[in-house]
Amino acid sequence: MAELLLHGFETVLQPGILALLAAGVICGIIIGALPGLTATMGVALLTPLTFGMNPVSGLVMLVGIYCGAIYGGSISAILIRTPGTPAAAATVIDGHELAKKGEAGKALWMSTVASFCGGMFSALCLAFIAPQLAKVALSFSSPEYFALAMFGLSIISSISGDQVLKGLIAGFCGLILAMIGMDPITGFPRFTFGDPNFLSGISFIPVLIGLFAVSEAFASAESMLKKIDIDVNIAGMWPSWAEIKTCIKTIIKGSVIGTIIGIIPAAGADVAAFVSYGECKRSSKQADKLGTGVLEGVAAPESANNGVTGGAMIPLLTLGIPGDAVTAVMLGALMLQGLRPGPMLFKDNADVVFALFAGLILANVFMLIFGLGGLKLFAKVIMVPKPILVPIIFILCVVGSYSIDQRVFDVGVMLVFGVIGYFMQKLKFPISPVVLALILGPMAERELRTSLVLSQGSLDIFFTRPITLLLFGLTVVSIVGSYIAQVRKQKKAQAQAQGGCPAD
Amino acid sequence: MKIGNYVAAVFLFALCGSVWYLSADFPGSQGNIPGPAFFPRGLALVLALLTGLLLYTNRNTSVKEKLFDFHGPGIKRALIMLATTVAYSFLVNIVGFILLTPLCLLLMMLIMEPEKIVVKVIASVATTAILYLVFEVGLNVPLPAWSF
Repeated sequence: MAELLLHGFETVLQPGILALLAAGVICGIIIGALPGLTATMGVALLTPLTFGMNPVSGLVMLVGIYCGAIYGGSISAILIRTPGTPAAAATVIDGHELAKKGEAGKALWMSTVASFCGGMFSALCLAFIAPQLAKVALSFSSPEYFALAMFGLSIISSISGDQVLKGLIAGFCGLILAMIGMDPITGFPRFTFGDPNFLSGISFIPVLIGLFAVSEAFASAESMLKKIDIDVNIAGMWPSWAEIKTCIKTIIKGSVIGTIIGIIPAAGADVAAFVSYGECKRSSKQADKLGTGVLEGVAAPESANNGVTGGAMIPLLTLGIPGDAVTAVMLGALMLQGLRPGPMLFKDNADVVFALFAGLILANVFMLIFGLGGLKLFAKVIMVPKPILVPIIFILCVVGSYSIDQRVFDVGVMLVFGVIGYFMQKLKFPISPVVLALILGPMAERELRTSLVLSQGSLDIFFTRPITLLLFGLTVVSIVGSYIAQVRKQKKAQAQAQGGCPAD
Repeated sequence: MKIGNYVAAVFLFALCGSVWYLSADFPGSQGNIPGPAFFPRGLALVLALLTGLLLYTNRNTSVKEKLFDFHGPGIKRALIMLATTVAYSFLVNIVGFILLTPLCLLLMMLIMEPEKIVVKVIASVATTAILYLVFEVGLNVPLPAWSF
């Protein structure tokens, strides 16, 4: 395995690929820093750029964007009290307080270093854990893959936040959408209305761009934000060694928390950041000062949110189950490059996989270098006015969708789903379940029907295999657990509204 | 939100009904092996049940958020941006990327904020140039050209 990783580094350490990785990290940091643009949107928007590239180049660039975007959100969180991405929401608490005290430079330094540590830890975990998990997954057959798809789909309830019912509805709509095209077993055309454009199904990337990018651009066009002025001085202030020492334990804990949460499908960087911040509040010697502007309050969430990046790629690469919304997009990108995530990926395309591991490790190094060196520049980027940015996003969406197959049809799909996504956001229907269902729905149907062919129609095939039973059990736990969590949250909110219980 | 949920429910029931109706002509199951209609119909059924549950829970919703402010400039701006993007999508294959993109970008930027025209002209032209260099030159992805 060490040899494969070394070979991966040799592949990535080429000038062209390094340049793409650097460009990806820089684009990611800029996208993350801009409020209103999420990491998911950035990866969705820039995925079409990877079509003309070989798999290693394209995927390494996307990984760079992912790392950069998760970190970049902290820049606006600290400077203007607005998280650039949901992952940086916890960073606002102490980050902006530090900026108000005139210590924005220290806060930004700590967020960069903590992000690097968390990201690097999770990248190393990915490189060592994923191949072992893939060996277990090699024994999977159609029943296991069906159960895995069901477990993946059950995550819909987790990623729906407070709207579990609406999330399930969105997921089932996505599943119905996935039925368009040729039946995977018999080849019968379903819901194509005689149009050859529908024979291969709805193209995934235009749907992604429409749902995540265009809908957000509509919302931005509707609600014009005022021009942002940054009046904090970020020049040259680094923490002292004594200040850094107080954060080391927090960074280690945050990195572990982030990696573990990243491995759990659907729990993303925002969850990891808050869990880490909560743990810091519980165990820190400076717990009473948290919230007033202490460096630990920046180190905890930032190490955790970047710790998710490698962790989320473990289930993605080994099982084909995305760890969060961004890796759901990357799943689509992998498939478009002709790479099917899962244990066979490690067998048939080990060179690509280990190059990806090396790319993720190097992406964190670039993030550290550009983060520390380019902070003033990135701070200026936040000030790009919305009237200039939003139209550029619209045009980029059109060009990106067109570039897939040079069809205006894909642009039309993108626009339709942009409008649908806009209404979904207005009506508080989560968007991620649609994407997850679109990816996993065909797999679920294909493996179910293949399993029934193998068993000649008997359902016993699903209940006599231990891994299948385990995955079904996890599916039930996932759905029931999410529902119970939502009910508890609603009851707590009601009790707080009545003034019966103190807030945490 | 309450009215919005009711409208969404109508669309969802219509979707379920359409899926059920359209899948009636699909080939049937072969023995115990489900045919092409099995999954779509199963999904439509479950979706109809979930939509019914949404209607039921919506009865008790007291949230009266106003989803759209039709009198404010925001929704009009969003609609104009949509119309411009749609027009761009159809016309770009005729007029060509290099000619149409900076014009559309400038138009949309001025719709968002009708000031600082020079900055917006520079931004439109620069964006077009960057996109052309990245896609057409860097990635060999052909962009629409002038048709005439």
